[in-house]
Amino acid sequence: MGINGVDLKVFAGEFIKRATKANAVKLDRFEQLAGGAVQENYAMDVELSGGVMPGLHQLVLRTDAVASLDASLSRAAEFEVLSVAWQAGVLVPEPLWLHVDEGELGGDFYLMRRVAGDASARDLVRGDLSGSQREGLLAQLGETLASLHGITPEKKTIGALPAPELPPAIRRIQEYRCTLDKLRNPHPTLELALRWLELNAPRKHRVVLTHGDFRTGNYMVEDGQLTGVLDWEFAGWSDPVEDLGWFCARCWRFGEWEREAGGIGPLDALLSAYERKAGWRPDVTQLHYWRVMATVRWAVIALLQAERHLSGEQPSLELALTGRMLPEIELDLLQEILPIAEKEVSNA
Amino acid sequence: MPDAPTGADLLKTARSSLLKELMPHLDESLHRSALMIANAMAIAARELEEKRNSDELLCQRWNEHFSVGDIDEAYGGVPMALVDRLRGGELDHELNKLGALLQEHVVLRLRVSNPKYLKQAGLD
Repeated sequence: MGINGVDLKVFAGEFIKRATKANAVKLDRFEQLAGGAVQENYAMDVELSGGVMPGLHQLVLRTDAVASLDASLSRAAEFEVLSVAWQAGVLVPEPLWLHVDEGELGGDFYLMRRVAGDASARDLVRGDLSGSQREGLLAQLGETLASLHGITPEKKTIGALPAPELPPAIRRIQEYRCTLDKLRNPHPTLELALRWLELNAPRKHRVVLTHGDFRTGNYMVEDGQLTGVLDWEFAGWSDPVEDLGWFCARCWRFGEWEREAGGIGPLDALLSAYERKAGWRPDVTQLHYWRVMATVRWAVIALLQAERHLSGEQPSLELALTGRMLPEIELDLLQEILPIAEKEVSNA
Repeated sequence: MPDAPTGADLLKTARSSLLKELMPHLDESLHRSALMIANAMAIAARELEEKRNSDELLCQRWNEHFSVGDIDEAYGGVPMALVDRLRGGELDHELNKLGALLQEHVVLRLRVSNPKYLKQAGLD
């Protein structure tokens, strides 16, 4: 495998040798990991002789796949965010080295330490974790999210992430309407939800570093313990409750609707741990608002995925079926917002 | 009168053959793809059997309740004027009425795409 005809495995080995000043690098394993339509991940085991990090290391190399999403960060930006999160004590894979390509390979990549465990959402949600294990896992997730949300634009400049100009909710509404305008059909249920979101946009908000795709399936778990939060390509400055709303939206409970927190367990276990660490607790109204926003976002993503199939850019049964999930997502939305109280309309 | 068996019957029979005859012989790595194919066939069969056109119903209701004028066939029967009026706030005090109408439309579409979802949502 390679990019632009250069063997990625050989290139990465030489890169690690230079980065660690090792005398020699022995590659014991280099294989692509499952998943990753937008990014590709490779498991890489290396044995380094001499240099600053001698010994055996289990790593992951992350680079771009052929498909890319406009909204996602570059690998260099993602590495910067991951480094900030790591330094703040967020449970993430330790970022090690970034390769910024100057034409020799054809793409950037970075290496991070491989964390143990499994990220499979369905296995986790429907698995045999006990009630107390589920609550313990949610507590870890709540704490690690609160650690991340402790990073603010006032405390930390992240070159890759521009400072936000608009309130997060207003920015999202504009972004989703703009995307809908580019699609082939109008979507009145999504328009109804967006109007509701506009009328009920929070008057006060915080802006913190958010993960942007914090959901079951994007973190690793081993023996019921959180080992690392993955997939940082949608990180940005936003409202902290956006991450919690995304995590708790019905679409990310993987069929286990009664387990409100990510299909794992009770909401209180997540929010109590978050509150202990962050010093404040998101209220029910805020969480409801951002669950609605999350559901609109998922609908927009589903439409974009279907469009890739419909346009002929990437004919795919999986993308086509994602498009046919739209009525499910619309029902989630309508059940979230109806009936609309008079005071919700008079907020404008 | 279409030839028998109908397209819906063919799809259902083919799906059954896929799941009962082929699936047990497929490598486990192909099971997800096979299940996706079976799901697509089930949706297509239900769509062929569905007598009610959910878009036509929606347009009829819109005209009854919101007098949106001519329906633009180019947009799948969804009147663009309605979207503009929603965004402009003209329908703010009719959102519940519109929401109920849209839910009726969504339920019809779910009967085709995923009837089990309706049951889980307490609507069937």
